[in-house]
Amino acid sequence: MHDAVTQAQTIDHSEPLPRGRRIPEHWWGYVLLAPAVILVLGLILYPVIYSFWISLHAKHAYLPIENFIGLDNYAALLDDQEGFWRGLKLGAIFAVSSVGLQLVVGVSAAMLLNESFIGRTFARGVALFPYMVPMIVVVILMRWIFNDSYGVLKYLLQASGIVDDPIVWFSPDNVMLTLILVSTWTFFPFVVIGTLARLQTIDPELYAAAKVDGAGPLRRFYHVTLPQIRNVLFVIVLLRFMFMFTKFDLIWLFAGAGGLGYYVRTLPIYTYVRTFGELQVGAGAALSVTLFLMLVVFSIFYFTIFRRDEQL
Amino acid sequence: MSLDYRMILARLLVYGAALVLVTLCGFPLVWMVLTSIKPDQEILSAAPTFWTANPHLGAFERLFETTNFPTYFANSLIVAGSATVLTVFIGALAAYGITRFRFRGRELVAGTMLFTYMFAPIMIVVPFYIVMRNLGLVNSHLGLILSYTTFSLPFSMWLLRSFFQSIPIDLEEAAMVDGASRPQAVIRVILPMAFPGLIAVSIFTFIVAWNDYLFARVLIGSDSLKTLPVGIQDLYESTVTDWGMVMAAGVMITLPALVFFIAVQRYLVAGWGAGAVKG
Amino acid sequence: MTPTQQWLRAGAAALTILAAVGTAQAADKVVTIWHTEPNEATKGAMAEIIADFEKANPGIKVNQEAIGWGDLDKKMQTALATGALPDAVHGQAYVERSLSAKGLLRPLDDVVASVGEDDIYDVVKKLNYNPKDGHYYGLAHAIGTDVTVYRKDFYREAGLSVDQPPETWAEWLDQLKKLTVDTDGDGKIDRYGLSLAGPGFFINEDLYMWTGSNGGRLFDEKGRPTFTEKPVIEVLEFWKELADCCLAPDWLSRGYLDTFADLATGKAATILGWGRGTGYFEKYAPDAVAAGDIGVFPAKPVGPSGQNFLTQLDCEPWMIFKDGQHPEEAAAFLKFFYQKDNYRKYIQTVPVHFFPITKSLQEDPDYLATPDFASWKFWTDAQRNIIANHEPKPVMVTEWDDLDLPFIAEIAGSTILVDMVTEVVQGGKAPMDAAQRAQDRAEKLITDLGYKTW
Repeated sequence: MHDAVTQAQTIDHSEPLPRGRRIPEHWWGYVLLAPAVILVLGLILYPVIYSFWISLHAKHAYLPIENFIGLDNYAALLDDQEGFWRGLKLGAIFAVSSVGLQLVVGVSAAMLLNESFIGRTFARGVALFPYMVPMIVVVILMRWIFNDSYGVLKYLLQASGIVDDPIVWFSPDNVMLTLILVSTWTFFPFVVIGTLARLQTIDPELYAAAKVDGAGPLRRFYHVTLPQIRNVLFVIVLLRFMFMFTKFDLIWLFAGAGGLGYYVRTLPIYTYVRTFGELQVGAGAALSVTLFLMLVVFSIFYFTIFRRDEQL
Repeated sequence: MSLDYRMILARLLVYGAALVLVTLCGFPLVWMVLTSIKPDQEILSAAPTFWTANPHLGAFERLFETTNFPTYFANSLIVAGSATVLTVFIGALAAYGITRFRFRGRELVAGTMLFTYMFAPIMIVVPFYIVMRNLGLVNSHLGLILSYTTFSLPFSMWLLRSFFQSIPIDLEEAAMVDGASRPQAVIRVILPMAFPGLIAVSIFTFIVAWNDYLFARVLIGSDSLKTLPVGIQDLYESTVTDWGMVMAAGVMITLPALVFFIAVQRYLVAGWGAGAVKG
Repeated sequence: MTPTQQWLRAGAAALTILAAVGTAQAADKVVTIWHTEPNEATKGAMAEIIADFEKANPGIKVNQEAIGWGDLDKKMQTALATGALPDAVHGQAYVERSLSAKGLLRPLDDVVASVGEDDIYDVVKKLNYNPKDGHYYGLAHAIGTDVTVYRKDFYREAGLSVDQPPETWAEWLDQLKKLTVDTDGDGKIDRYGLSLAGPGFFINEDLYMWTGSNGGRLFDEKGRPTFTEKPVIEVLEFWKELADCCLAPDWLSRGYLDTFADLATGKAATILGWGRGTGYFEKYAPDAVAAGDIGVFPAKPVGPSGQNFLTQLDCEPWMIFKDGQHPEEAAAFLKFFYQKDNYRKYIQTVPVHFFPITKSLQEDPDYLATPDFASWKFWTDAQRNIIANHEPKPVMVTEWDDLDLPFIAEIAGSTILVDMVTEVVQGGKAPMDAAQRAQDRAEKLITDLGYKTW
C-alpha cells in the first residue's frame, strides 16, 4: 500500500502545476482532511477534554455549584465498592460473555453462509437482519417475546416440553443472561459481516490440499480457516468488546437504573445514574474518563499480547 | 458408497443449520408482523396463536391517522439521508487526502481513527450537548446530522482509506494524461472502483443515524422534529400501550431498511470485509 | 474551471444544503412550553388551545413540546445546566421549591388569582404555595391520586367482600394470599394477588407511600435521612412478605403498564394505579369493563405503626422561568389555559386521570357529561374522596415540610432507596442492614451536595 502512496507522490511532483492552482500540492492533504478533522475535534475530542475538566470538580448538574477538588472524584471511586467495583465486574461479565457468544455464533454462521446452498442469498439477508433493527424496537420486541405471561418464547418452550416451569427471564437471577442473549442476537451479524467477507477470499486450494492430507472438518477449521480469519477476528473482537463494555441503550431501555437494573448496573449505567439521577456531573465525568482510560489500557494490552503473536 | 452417504448427511446438516439460523434471526420479525395484524384481544392471550384468522390493518391505520408517525418517519429519512450523504462526501475527501498526498500529521490522523471508538456516546453526551447549545444547534435536524456524521466519520475514513489505497494510482494518472482534471479523474476512475466501500459507508452511517436513540433524545424536544426511535418510545410510553400499533410502528421502521439492506448486502459484505482485513 | 474552483464549488454547494436544512426563522415572540403529555389527544387539545390563544394575541406564538414523562428530568437538567430555558414547563413537585429557592422562577400569584384562589383544592394550595415568602411559584396542571384497582370477579371467587377495602396491612396480606391462586389446577400459580411496577421510580413511590401509611417519614426535621427508623424497617419487612406470597417472581421487570395488562388479563387481582389506565381495560378487557368487574377502593390500608394512609398526589405544576425568553407572555398563556372552557377541553383528554384543580369545574355540567364517566365515574369519585379527605402528597413527600428539602430530586434520582428495597425483597438481606447501608449512602450524597445541616 505504501508503494501506491509513494508513487502518487512521485507523479504529482513530476507533473507541471496547472495554471490557476495557487495552493501548494501538499496543502491539499490538509484541505481535504479539514472538514473531517474539524468535526471530530469539535464534537468528539473537545467534549472529551471538557469531560476531563469537569471531572476535577464537584459540580452539580444545574445548580451553580462548582468547586475544584482535584482528583477527589477519582479517589472516591476506589472506595466505591457497590457502584464502581461491582459495576466493573458486571460490565466485564456482560461484555466478555456477550462478545464470546457473538464470536461463536457469528463465525459459525459466517462459515455456514459461505457454503453454497439453495436460498443462500435469502439466508444471508435474514441473518444480517437483527443488526438493522433499531435498539428501541429490539427492546420493545424482546420484552414482548420474553414476557413471562404472554411471551411466545415461554409458550414455545413449554409446549415443546423443553422446560416444565416457565423460565422467568427478567428475574434478578436471569436478567443478565437474558441481556447477554438479546445482545448476542442483535450484534452477532457484525461478526458475520466481517468474517464472511474474509472467508470468501480464502483460496479453495487450501481446503483441497488439507483434504488430500486427510484432515477432518475440525482440523481443517483449525489449520486452514482460523489462521486466515485471525486478522479479521483480531479487529472484530477489539471493536465488539469496546462496544459492549460501553453499551448503554440496550441495558438502560431494558432494565433501567433501579429494581431489575440493580442486577445489571454496569459502569455506563452507573455513570448515567450519577450524572442524571444524582445530578453529580463531576463524579459522573470522572467515571466517564475512567471508563475511557480502562479501554485505552485494555487496548494496549490487547495489542501487545495478540498483535505480536499475529505477525508470525 | 459411504462417501455419497456422508455427502448427503453433510448437505442435510447445512440445510438444517441454515433453517435454524434463518428461524432464529427471522422469527422475531415474523412475530412482530403477526402481532401488528392480530385483533387486539388475540394479542394478549396466554396461548399465542401463530396465525390469525382475522388479520386486519387497524393498527397501521391508527398509526398513520392518530399519531405523528408520518412526521417522525420523514424526519428520520431527512436526518439519516443527509448524514449519509455528508459522511460519504467528507469521508471520501479525507480518505483521498490521506492516501494521495503526503503531509505532516497524516499518519497521526490515520492512527487515531480507531482511538475515537473508546469514547462511547454515553461518556460525552453532557459536554456534547453543551457544545451543540453553544453552536445553536439544539433542537434542530442539523445538530443531529452533524452528530451522526461525526460519529460515523472515523470508521468511514478508516474503511475508505483502505479502498483508496488498493486502487492503483496508474489508473488515475492515465485518466489525467488523457486530459482529465484531478476531480474528473476521481469521479470517473476512483469513485466507481471504490463503490463497494462507498456503499458500505453509506449503510453503516445510515444504520447509526436511523437507529440512534440517545442523541435524538437529548438534542430534540419538538414533536415535529423527532426521529423514529424517540417517537416510538413516546408512543410506547403514552396513555395506553397499544401493542398492535407499537408493533406496526416497529414493522414500518424495520421493513424499508431491511429491503434496502438486502438489495445492497453483497456490496456491504465485500466492502466491510476489505476494511476489516486491511485494518 | 480549475480544479481548485471545482472543489470549492462542491464545498459551497454542500454548505448551502446544510444551511438550508438548519435554518429556522423567528419573527414573532415564541413562547416555548414543555409538558409531559405526549398522548395524541392531549397534544391535540393543547394545539387547539394554543391556536385560540394565538388568534387572541397576535404577535405571540406558542410552541408546545410534549416530553415523555421519563425524560422530563433529564431535559430539565440539560436546559438548566446550559441556560437554554423554555418559558413554561411541567415539573416534579419537589423541584418547584428548590428552583424557587434559587430565584429561578417567576411567581404565579397572578395566574392563581385569575383562576380564583378559593376555587382551588387545598392540597394544590399546600403544594404550590410557599409559606416562607407568601408566593405561589407553580400551579398543578391537573391532579390525580394513586388508588388500589381490583377485580371484583376475583374478589367474589375468593369469597371476599367487594365493598370492604382492607384497613390494615395484615388484612390486606390476608386478602392477597386468598387472591393468589392456581386457576387451571396444574399446580402452578397463574394469578397473583398484586402486580407492582418494578422500575426504580415506582419503588420510590411505593416506599414513601407505605412509610407514610405506617406513621413514618423519610427525613427528620433537620433533613437527615431516617431510613433505619422503625416505620421504614416495618415497610421492608412487609414488602418482603408481600413479595414472597403475592407478587409474581418477575415483578421487578414489570413496567407500569404491564401491571395494567396483568389486571386486564387476569394475571393479577389488584394493582396500584392511576386513572389514565382505564383505556387499557377498555381495550384489553372489554368484557370485564362491561360486567362492572373493575373496581377502585376509596381508601388504602395502614401499617402496624400508622394511623392514616398516605397515597400519592399526582400534581406536576406549571412553572415559569424568570429568565426564559418571554415569561410574561407565558403567564398570559397559562391564564388562558385555565379559563374554564379551555381547561375543560384539556382535562377531558384524559378524563379519569386528570382531576381538575378547581372545585367549580367539578360541578360543571359539561364536565360531568364527559362520555368516559358513564363507565368510570366510580374512579373519579374515589379520587375525590381521597383528595378532599385524606391529604395525598406528592412523590417522596411524607410531610409537607419535606418540600423544602433541597436534595429530594437527587435522592429520588439516585438508586439508594430502590437498592435498599431490592436487597431486602430479592436479595434476602436483613432489613436493618440494608437500611443502614442506604442511610450511609444517602448521608454521603447529601453531604457531597453540601446540604448537610444536622
